[in-house]
Amino acid sequence: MKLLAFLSIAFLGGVLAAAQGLEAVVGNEVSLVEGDLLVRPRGAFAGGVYLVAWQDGWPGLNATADIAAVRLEPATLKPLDPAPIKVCAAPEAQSRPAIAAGKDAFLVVWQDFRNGKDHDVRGAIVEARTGKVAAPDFGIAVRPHNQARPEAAWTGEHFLVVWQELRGRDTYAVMGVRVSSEGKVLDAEPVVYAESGAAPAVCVSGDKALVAWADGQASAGALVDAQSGKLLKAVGAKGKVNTRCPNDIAIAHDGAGGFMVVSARESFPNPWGWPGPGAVLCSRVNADGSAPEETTNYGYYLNNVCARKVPNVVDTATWGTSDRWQAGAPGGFKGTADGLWPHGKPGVAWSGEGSFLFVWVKGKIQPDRLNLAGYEVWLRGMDAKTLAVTLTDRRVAGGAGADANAPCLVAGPSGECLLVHERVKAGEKMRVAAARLNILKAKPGAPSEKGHL
Amino acid sequence: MKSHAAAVLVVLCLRLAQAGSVVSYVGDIDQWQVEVFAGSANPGGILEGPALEAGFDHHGSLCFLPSGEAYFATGGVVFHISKEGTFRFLAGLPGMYGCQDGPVTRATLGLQSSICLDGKGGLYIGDRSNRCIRRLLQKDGGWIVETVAGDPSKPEWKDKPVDGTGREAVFKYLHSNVVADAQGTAFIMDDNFLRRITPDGKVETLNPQGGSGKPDDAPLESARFSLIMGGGMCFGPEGALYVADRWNHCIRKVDLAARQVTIAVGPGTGYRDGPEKNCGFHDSPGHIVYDPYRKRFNTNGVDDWGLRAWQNGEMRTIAGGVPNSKALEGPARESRIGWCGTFALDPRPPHEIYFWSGHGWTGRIGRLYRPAERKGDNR
Repeated sequence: MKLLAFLSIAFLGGVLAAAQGLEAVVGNEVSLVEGDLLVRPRGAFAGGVYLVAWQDGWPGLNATADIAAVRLEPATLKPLDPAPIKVCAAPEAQSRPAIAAGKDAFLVVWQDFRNGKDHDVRGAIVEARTGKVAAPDFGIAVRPHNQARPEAAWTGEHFLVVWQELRGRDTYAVMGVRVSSEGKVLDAEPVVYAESGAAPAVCVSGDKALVAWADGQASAGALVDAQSGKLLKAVGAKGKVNTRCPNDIAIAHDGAGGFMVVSARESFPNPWGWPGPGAVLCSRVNADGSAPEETTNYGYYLNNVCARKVPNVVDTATWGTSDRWQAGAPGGFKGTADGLWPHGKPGVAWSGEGSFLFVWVKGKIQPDRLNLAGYEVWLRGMDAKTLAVTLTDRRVAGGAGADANAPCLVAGPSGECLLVHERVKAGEKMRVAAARLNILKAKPGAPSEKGHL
Repeated sequence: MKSHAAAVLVVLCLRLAQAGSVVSYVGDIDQWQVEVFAGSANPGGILEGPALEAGFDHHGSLCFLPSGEAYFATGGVVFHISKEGTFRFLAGLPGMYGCQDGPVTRATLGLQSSICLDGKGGLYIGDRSNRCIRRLLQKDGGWIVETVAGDPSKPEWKDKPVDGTGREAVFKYLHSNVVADAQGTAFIMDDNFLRRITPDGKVETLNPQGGSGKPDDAPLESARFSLIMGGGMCFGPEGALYVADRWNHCIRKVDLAARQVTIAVGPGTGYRDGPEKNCGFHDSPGHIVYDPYRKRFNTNGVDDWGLRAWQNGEMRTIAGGVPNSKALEGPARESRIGWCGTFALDPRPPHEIYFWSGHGWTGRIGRLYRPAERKGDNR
């Protein structure tokens, strides 16, 4: 793994995304680090710096994967560390990192297979000012059976860490504990947020946290008292955030108690269209716990999503020239209208201008209708209250022979966001790449080009 | 509204088909139980860990080593399963699909794959998503992935399969699982063409004058099949190939030495046990495996509801078969078998029967066993 000294690898910047309400100035894409396999970069902003952490290496049998990170100067994205910070390099596999930004330090959490039998959840505190691992490699959920897929958020006083843990014979529950800024687990016993759920996400807004998780075909959620970590109530009338989009949940907040949940319906093309469309949906959860998208009718085979008859569609695959998904129809699936297919984990961040920003991946459907290639990261803005599009869709990473995957959007200083993602190009080492996004209110009649960051 | 009507029609048709089913259980049916061997009820995606905590995605393909270790392909990864039942990645990475060869630390696989032992300590991978045959083998102390035949960057063939060596060969859609003989020669059904792949990557179509069509006894060169996602294949005890010819609702025997294809069981529609020439299949047979320990073939359906055994000229149900059953686990005759997939036999006594039970686009690995034969849980 080699830390790259501020290498600008592509110019996507200087592009002004003038749209209905917002403009986005996209900075140059810079490559932060290169290696054989750098997976799932995640970022956070605290103490005037960004921290980007990733999984370095493959986590399988007889291999090792570690957690590494680097601090970035926010105005230039120059690395502040001469070499990647070794957050955890224990034996066996450490994987799926997540980060929460505290007051002047970061909590990095990951799932850890060092016992060779099952996953535990562990973490480390990294100082924002120095990059020092102030509290290295401490256990957060270390018990028999799997504790996996951790996520974390800062409550203003401490961190709240959530994960999935086996309860009973074969069913995962969603659980959480509070962790101090010094890296001490504050709760003797974890709180159970859901008896059945997996792949949780967490976000804090004011005195409440929203914990959301996959629940069968639905996304479910609960409001949590941010200070005590105790469960307050399930969201909506039935505990659901939405009923048809459970995968890869990410959450952001508007600073006024409102949350936005973005999730994917993971699916893949097939010549008959049987798995249904890939889709990315956003769903609001208000400060009072109401969930307006809980009862949305997405239609048979998500036809109302394909026809965009529901307002919370960030992206969806559509069936060629039809606005209905016609799996198994004579002639099979010939492809989508635009030849693209949303795929993988989306990201979300607050723009500071009344909108949420979404990033997600689209792949190009290959002629055999079995595969995707040419992965790109796309950006959209949507009004927090009405879900109207405030920033039209545009590619912000990938292209020119390079795949961009696994995007993460981090709210930074003064209306800026940081986009981080995986970058893969044939014949080159894998990279973690980043770019600044500056979000502005659109001016009527604004020119289509503006100086880049 | 139209799609709702179509869905209702499909459900009605299924109910009618179920109503006409004839289930005849094996004589010792009440000694058998079904349990989940692996796969969490709600894993949230691909996940390593103990068997009942592991997470799978899409269909699965399982094969055992003589030691009792096993391999399982699902959702773009191949798991290694220890004798104790711990699932670890052997190749691939969740969510990162592709056709990159090389060390498993960065090789990528397609979303859907079948696997079998290659007879030389490695595995063949029928990489359906990438339309190629790949191999997992040990080299210099580690595992690597290499492409044996096929090239995903080439368009699929149009009218007839394209034979050749290595990347010259072109595949279209690998309906069946991949199987290999003791010499390491692999076979797979590509669309409705039977393709043979030698260990050095030479691909030959064995029924070039055949393809899609109704079943008949025919020379291999002109044999016709009608497979669709999930049509399976296995070797019989005498070295012939047996093909679960799913949409022809029959089992075909491919005598490779005599180059002759015959109808071994069926054809017949509707789930109907009985004499081999008078039995029927609903949305099946989808998969087939020869059980050398009980000297019978086990088969199941893709959208069916039972596991069945073909032995001594009779087809009998060995689990499920009751459409209204609720749970996978429990007495075999009451089990609710999901969308079926791969079969595998544990080489260790008492040779329990493993099968994929799919639900939607994921599923779990079920196990059929006789409690009386167990001397403590071996996993």
